[in-house]
Amino acid sequence: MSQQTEAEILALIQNPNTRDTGFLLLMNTYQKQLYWHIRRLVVSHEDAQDILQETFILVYSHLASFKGESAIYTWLYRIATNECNRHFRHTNFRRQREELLSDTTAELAADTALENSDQILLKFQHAIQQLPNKQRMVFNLRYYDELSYEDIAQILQTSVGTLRTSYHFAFEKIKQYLADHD
Amino acid sequence: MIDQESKFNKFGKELPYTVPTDFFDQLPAKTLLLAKERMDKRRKNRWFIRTLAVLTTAAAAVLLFIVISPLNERQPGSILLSKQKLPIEKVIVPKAQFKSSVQLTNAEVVQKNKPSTELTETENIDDLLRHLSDEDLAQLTAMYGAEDMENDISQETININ
Repeated sequence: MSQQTEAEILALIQNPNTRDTGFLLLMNTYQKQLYWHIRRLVVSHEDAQDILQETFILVYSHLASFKGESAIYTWLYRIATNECNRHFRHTNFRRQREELLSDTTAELAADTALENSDQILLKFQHAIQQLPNKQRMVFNLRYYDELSYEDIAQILQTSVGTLRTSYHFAFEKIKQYLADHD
Repeated sequence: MIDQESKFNKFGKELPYTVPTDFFDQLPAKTLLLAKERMDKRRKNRWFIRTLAVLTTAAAAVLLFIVISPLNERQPGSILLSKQKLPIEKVIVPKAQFKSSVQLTNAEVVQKNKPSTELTETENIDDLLRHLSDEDLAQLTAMYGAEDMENDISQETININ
């Protein structure tokens, strides 16, 4: 995301007459990035769609309050991650952790059977799904989105040191899982 | 850490997930519509809550006024009642005492016994009385007072019986 586009979006958003245009431009620019971030965390497409919509609805209602103190994408990622956390809390309230994991695995298998038969990718996703939520978030943001630790620290509102440790633990657990399931 | 990540190179950054076609094309317009609906709903809710708050405050104020106002009215009301009760008690003056106190002038006697609203009638009577002598007037006054007292006393005895 270039700084020019970000400034352009901000200018459109701050003007009440062009707010909707700015919002549409914002969505077109970041929706794919955010969708995959959410999808990697919740796995189900329906859940990812709901969370993404909720994220952008929240963004729309708080557009006026965005002061531009942080980059737009870190702000968007933070809202999306918070929405995912809310989803996890809500789901955990209704179902046990084991049940959720087995559902996730089943969804993964079903999805893969339809489109992608690559067993390596599926196994890698299984390994990531075994991680605790926080470690999964850190790993995904670092590995897939290639964000800096400073950006991830802003998104998850933790220190860089904690993030490095979390990433290291996540990496080791995935490696161990892959070795065990070879 | 980069060396560590290179161990995952064979997995790449691909995901084994699929997305419905046109999903990303349709999503922005749908979301904008939803966001606007949500904003309208919130605005309406906010308006409703504010109106409700104003109405509740007004109702509370009216209730408070209703509760407080009878208390204010009762105080003057109770004074009125006491004022009304006072004339019920009649002071009985002994006849002898009354007779001895008959040393008033003609004008004073007339003014004392007649109500102030009948001033025009008393003016006529004044003219009549002016022609009477002092002795006649004293006798008349004594008679009038005695009759009046006799009436009062007889009325009291009836009430007691």
